[in-house]
Amino acid sequence: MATSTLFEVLFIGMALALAALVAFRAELTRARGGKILAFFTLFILPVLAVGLGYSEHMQRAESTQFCLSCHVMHDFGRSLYVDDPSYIPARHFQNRLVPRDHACYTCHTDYTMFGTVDAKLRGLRHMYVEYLGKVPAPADIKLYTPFNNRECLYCHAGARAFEEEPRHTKTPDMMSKIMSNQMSCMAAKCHDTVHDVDTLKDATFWKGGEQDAE
Amino acid sequence: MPNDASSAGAPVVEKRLRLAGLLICLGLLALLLSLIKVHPLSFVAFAMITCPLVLAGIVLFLYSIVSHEPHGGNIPPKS
Repeated sequence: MATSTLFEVLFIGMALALAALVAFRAELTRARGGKILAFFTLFILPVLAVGLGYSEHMQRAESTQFCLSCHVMHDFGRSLYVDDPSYIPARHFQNRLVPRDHACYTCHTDYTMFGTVDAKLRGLRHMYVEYLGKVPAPADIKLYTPFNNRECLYCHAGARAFEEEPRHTKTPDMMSKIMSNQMSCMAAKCHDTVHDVDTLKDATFWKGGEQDAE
Repeated sequence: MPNDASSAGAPVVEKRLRLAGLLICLGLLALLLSLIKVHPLSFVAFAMITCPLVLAGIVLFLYSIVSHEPHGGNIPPKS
């Protein structure tokens, strides 16, 4: 357990113990000190505890373990271990180009002002579909909108390997088209092998890195 | 030694404080349990159980302190 999580659990436990004290010894609130105690334990501490809990849950929602805990995401998780570098997510995951414990979120959030909020709202929608809606087959799951180069360029822009790659400068205006999203990294048939979960039955898998995804 | 007005009004307020404390306890317990596992259902439990219980407890607490008459009751208007 991370130190911050341990601190949160201890804080929530303390808030719980104090709330229980007021709940079962309400006569303490007759004295001035008891009134102050009640204000802290029934107002200030619960607000802080729920705030900490909310923050913790939001952080957990960004983890690979969280995303892959839905059954329908299982094949997408397996696709990160395909032993073939042409699979873009597998290449990024296996070479630590993205943090393994936040692999899904790193590529599937929007790097905009409210990108994190949008990603969380999409996550809520996914949870609704998972528990109350009709879950599609893994191969039928598609992005809502075409993948924006902005998400790739968040890391790759300015990188020497990206800028000096001959295929990225084949024509004089190619780099500017990539940077302005006029030419999609994926849809332009350059990096178009992504999760491709319908091809996994014939794939071979890398055996390492299992513990890092958690 | 508490005066008569204070001890007469206390049980109602204390009953509400007890209930508020209990609701908050249950909410915080649900919060602790929701932190055991990293899973979407944990977040659902947080959103559907913890938040409403704690919110209800806080609202009840605030209601109990604003609805509680201070010692001596209302001040009569000046004639």
